[in-house]
Amino acid sequence: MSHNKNLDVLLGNLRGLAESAEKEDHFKPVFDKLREFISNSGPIKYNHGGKWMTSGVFFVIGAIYTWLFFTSYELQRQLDWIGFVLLAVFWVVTCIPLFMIAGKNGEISGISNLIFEKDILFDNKLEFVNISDKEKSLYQQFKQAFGEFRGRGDEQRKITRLVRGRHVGKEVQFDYEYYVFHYVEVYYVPVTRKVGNSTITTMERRTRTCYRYGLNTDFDHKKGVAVVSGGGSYKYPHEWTTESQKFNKTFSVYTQDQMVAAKFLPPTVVLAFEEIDSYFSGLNLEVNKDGRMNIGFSNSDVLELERQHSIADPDAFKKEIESFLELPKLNMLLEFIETLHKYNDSNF
Amino acid sequence: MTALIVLGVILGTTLIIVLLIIAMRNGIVRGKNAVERAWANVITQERYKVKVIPKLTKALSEYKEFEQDLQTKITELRTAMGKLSDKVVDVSALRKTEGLIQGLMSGVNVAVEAYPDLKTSDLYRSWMRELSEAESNVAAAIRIFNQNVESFNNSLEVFPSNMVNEWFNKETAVDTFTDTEAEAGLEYKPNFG
Repeated sequence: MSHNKNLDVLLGNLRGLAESAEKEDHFKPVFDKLREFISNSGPIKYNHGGKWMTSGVFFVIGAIYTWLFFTSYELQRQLDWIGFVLLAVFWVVTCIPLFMIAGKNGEISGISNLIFEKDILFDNKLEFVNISDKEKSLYQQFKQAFGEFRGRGDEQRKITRLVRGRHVGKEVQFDYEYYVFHYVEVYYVPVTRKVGNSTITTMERRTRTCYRYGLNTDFDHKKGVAVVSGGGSYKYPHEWTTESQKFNKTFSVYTQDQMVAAKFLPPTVVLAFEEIDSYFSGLNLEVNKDGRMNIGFSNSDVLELERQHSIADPDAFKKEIESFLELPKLNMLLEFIETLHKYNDSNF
Repeated sequence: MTALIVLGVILGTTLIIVLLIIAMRNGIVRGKNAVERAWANVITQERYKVKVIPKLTKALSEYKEFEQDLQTKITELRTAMGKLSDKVVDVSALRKTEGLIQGLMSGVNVAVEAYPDLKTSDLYRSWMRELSEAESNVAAAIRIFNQNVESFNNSLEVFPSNMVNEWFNKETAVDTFTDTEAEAGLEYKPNFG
């Protein structure tokens, strides 16, 4: 079998292994197979020589033909519509090998991403939850519980990702779930067109796809309070301002009972909000009447890290996978929640 | 017509200036109120911290000698606390109370070293947690107070609101709270003009 076919088989096996991995140790056979392949067949790299050659030849022929076709009226007249078909055929045949190269190389980075992303979950004790048939019902459930989900978007509102985790801090432990909330905003813009001598202005429909991210967890110490920097719709009758002008410029506080808001926001918590606001944009926090907390924000990189190596360099990639892939923004959020617990619970 | 336009421009400009002056004057008033509220919060947090300390006496019922000494110091602290007003911004009185608390706490720490059982008791540990949180809240309240003071002092000193203050509010800058003990430990001394 050729090197490319061997690599196809190997990548198929690796994808299967990576998809079924349930802990970091399960990646060991992946690296064993990679090393075995390198020693027997060569590097984890497709040989695209033939495809480059084919694409190159057709590019030259296509370029010469295009030049001749558009500069010679005689040729255009003789070939008629067949000339245009030939034009399309040359350029399609030029592009097909390039797409094939991109697709094959993409599989190498695709498998690397899969392993890397799963390892992030393993290292941070996170568990991906399959919600493929519950995306819309989960949104309804969250909308019922939290103001963060109300008043956002006009259509296609759904929870597209749910990851569960447990934080074990110095003094506090709690379970949490991370979600990705997808929604589409519909808006209309005036568009002016010239029809004959007159101009007609019509309102055209446009859409904007948006995402919000966040964490949900239990918080029993205080109930019915929301700290909001923007968006959402919170149904609490009272407002509250803190002693900090800086905090008040960024956040509005809505609450069921002002006493609850005053106790929920001691000075240390107020400063913690000011601090976390410099790392997260559009941060909203709510503890609802049932003692469930939601923190929503616009940052998409809470569960993301930049991969440095790939399966093309198995030793370096293995080292990267074996190291602890820490998620600084997630840790920042969890420590923030820990601060909220610490300054709201009772020590006696 | 031209005269009317000139008059309109003059009236419009005057109106904008008057509105700006009103906004600046009100901004200074709001700034002062924010400083006073932040100060009241510092005192509230400080009082809470002072209230936490006597809770230790429950844990000390078996250690009579130690408890007596603690009670004397707590009484001194309460007297000092009574002199602190949440209406008048008095940074030096707060500094004095903080000094008394630090003295009391170092005494407590030395005494607790002599009682290993006490150190491991749940009540003592809960008390330490509560005290540490109360201390953090006082420190945070002081930071918020200083933030508000900075913003207020800026409004008194920065042009053109300094002129508005001279004409209408006539407020004076407020001192920020500084920890003199911590400051004494630093070699570097900033040369503020």
